[in-house]
Amino acid sequence: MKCFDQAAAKFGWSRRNPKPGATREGDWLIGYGCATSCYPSNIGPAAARLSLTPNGKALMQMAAHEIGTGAYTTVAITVADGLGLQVADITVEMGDSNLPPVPVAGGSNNAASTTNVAAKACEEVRARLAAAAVQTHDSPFFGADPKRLKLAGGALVGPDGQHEPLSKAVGRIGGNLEVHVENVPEGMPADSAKGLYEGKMAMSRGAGRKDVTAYAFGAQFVEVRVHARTREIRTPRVVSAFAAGTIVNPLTAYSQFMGGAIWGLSSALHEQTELDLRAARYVNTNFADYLIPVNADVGQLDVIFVPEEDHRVNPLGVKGIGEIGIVGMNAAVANAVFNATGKRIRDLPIRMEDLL
Amino acid sequence: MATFQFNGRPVTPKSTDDTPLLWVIRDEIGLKGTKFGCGVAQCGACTVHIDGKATRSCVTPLAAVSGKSVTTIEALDPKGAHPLQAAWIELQVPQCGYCQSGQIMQAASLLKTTPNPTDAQIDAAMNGNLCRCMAYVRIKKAIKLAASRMQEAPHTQGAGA
Repeated sequence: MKCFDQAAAKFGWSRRNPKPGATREGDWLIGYGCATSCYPSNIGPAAARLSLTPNGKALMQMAAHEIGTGAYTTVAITVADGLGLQVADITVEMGDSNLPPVPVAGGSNNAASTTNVAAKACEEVRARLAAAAVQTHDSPFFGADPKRLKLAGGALVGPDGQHEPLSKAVGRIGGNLEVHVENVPEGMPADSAKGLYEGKMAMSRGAGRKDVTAYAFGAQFVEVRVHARTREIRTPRVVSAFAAGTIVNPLTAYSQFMGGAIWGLSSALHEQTELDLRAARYVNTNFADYLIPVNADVGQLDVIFVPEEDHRVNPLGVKGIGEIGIVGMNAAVANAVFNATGKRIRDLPIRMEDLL
Repeated sequence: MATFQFNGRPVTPKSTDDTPLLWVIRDEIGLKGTKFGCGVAQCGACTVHIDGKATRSCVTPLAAVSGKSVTTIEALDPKGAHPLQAAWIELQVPQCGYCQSGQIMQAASLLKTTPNPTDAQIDAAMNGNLCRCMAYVRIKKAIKLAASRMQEAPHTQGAGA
């Protein structure tokens, strides 16, 4: 319960008065609410092509798509880590169906699917360079155990401090090295990557495995203020804490958690598609009538990263975070509204007319 | 035909007088920093400065800018280093980025008239600029950072701004 403990402490949950409608500042009724957030750690089979030049530049290609969440960067970070290079040395190509196939970006699978296949490609590169190096008489690694050779700092590095620049290690096997790998997540049929080439996606879902249930977890806390006369609902504070496995890129992860929490406020209090049932038409097809938050709707917002290592879900321990930021928010807001007013609202969005 | 100052130089586009300024900027002049979002002045992605004031270019007909000065994100600062742009980069404000040039142009207009805005003044001025990635927390932080920097060293405006 680290997520709950840390978020509750940051939020000041201990100050909550459990009696509904009992906390008031002037005309504002104040309520605290919290809820659990969890999301399955989905991962699918994926393919990738990785090439490495003797001057230490790598090209990673996969038919993933960047939908604004930072997919290029998470893959580049993973490849830089796997090949012992800098992020600036890595070029990532995505967004072209000619490239090796990976699953669609959906169900929060993208980071886990793409980074694990990228890491596997890096391991294949390392293994090939190492295998060649230990068999060559004039190499500093001759006779060494190839498994103990690593890629670090732009060089092939041995267990006893031997090292060799990539120019030599890559040059030894003919100049440019290109590998094509497929990754099939644990628990899936060995041939489940095949369908990808025909546009058929497969997915290992959070509860689908027999050995473990794989989920990311979080806790979300919200303060609402309900105006005693107008029933206007404001949300001055949100605190969320997430334990979501390996965080590949904290910057983009923060964006996703922050955006998810605000989307959650939006879902709880603003967004609704209104239908005209007689005309069978949507009524609010513009931003004047379909409400989404602006700066004025977002107060203080904190995101806590709770460190978690979970290498049973997949080798890198990456749990998707695309959606978990929003999951607990509706319930947390509804609970806070109950605490503020004593009204238990079970339909979303919760609007002032629901609290009259 | 309307002639106006565009990013510091005179232009006389061929488009008809009722063409939205946004189309002229993107399709005829060819600068793509100003974005099409909703087309009906409800999202703020198309915000440019007209005589220094933040304006929705998607609902501004070309005839309305005749004789005026139009500035887009490309010319907010000659080097793309307006204090807001610097703060945006420093705090890594955008997520997908689509709405951000509009956000910056709106904020630049605010800081001209209100150099040290309160939260409430930011909320009011930025009320029409939507961000679907919900990067609002960082947008507000960056506006405040830029404002504090501009108090120390006032910014010399870019072309025609």
